[in-house]
Amino acid sequence: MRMKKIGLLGLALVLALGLTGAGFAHWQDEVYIEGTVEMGDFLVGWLEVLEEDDNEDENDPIKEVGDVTQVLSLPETGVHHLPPETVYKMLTITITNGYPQYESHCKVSLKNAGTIPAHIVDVIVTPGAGLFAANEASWDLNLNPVDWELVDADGDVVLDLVICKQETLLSLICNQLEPCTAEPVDIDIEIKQDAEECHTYEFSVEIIAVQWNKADEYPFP
Amino acid sequence: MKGRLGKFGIAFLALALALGLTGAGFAHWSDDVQIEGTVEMGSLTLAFDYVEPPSCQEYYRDPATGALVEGEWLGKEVGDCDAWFDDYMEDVHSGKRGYKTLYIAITNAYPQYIVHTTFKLHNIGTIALDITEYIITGEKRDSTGAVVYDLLWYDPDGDYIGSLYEDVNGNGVVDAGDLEVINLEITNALPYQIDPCKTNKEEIDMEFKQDAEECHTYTIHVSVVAIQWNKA
Repeated sequence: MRMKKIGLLGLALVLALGLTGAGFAHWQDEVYIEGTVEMGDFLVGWLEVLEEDDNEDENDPIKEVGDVTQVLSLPETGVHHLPPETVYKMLTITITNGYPQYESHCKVSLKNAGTIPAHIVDVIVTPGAGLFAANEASWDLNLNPVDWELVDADGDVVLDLVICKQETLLSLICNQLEPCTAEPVDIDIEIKQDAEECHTYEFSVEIIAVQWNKADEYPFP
Repeated sequence: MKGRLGKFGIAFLALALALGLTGAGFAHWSDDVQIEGTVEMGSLTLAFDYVEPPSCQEYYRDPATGALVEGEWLGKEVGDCDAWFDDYMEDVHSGKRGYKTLYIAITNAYPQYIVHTTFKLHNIGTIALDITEYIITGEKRDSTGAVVYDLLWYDPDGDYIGSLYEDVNGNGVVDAGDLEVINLEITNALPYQIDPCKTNKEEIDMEFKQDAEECHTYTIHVSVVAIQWNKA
């Protein structure tokens, strides 16, 4: 009797499994898509200091009074380059012992060390300690600024700053830098009559580059 | 001796009689018929087409009209794309050929770089099949090849027009803090059927977003799932 019960149970199990198979059985196949996306590198920076000079050799007798130095910092390396190339995100220009009509002339190289074309869309001059505002003073043929006057709290101009392309003297704005291409840049600073003795004036300049295909959309929302 | 032989004789006789009676009980003529069943199973085999290779095309979006234009902005050659089939296969049943894997390689990509890849699916088996599902996964890797984040497919309405997100918090679901890096669209609408010997052209479109990170590699895996048409 007990064997009969077990037999019936086994039969029920076989039937259940069979019905389950009928419900789920199907053939299936797959093909595969393997996508690999290697992102490019967008990297614009200062490559090297080309020259630093001032106007003191225009005087007679020539004196060495003021001084200007340029220091590159915050290195970044474009790993996609062969060989890899290092550029610097920060250029620090320091004038010591300045005086009215002292003029520094800096020449520096700006490079696209990435793999994506870069379009310079803006040059933003920001006044720092001792300065109040930075006003655009002159523009190139395309009406892009090349000259800024930095004024103190009284509204007096104490520094005049020129930033432009070395070869054409045009603004850096609306200038496209291809990958692996460098652009020599002139940065001239003139100290004006109203600059005060024993003061330190600071300012910063931000050169904004965006990928070339998005330049028309700058400033971005 | 004579008595013993008599006993044996009686026993033997009884045995012979018993066997004889048994034979009389079971003896009959018999015959049978047989069924020989032969079932040749078909084959359900989906492949990428052997004849027509895949192709990819770059686009940019015209900022004035929003329309896609072939090539890259201002005619430059910056990004690059390539597509090819691999993992050659033959369906043993039909003898037809195809490939199991489509590779898409995109290099030097940047935000708003757009790549469309077309490819042909071929039913090289003998059973009609339905394309029922795309299973989309992926990873973000750094320059050493190490996985930085998994990529999560986000397509709330299931039409395979969606985005891949970096799973920044690693919880396996798209939520706050995850970054959208690739818009991805696969045509055609599912499910659809491919009969044996028939092909169907499909397209997978990708557009890279602002948060896609420089100098990183995004690897995307798509499984195209097909099941027999009567079970779809």
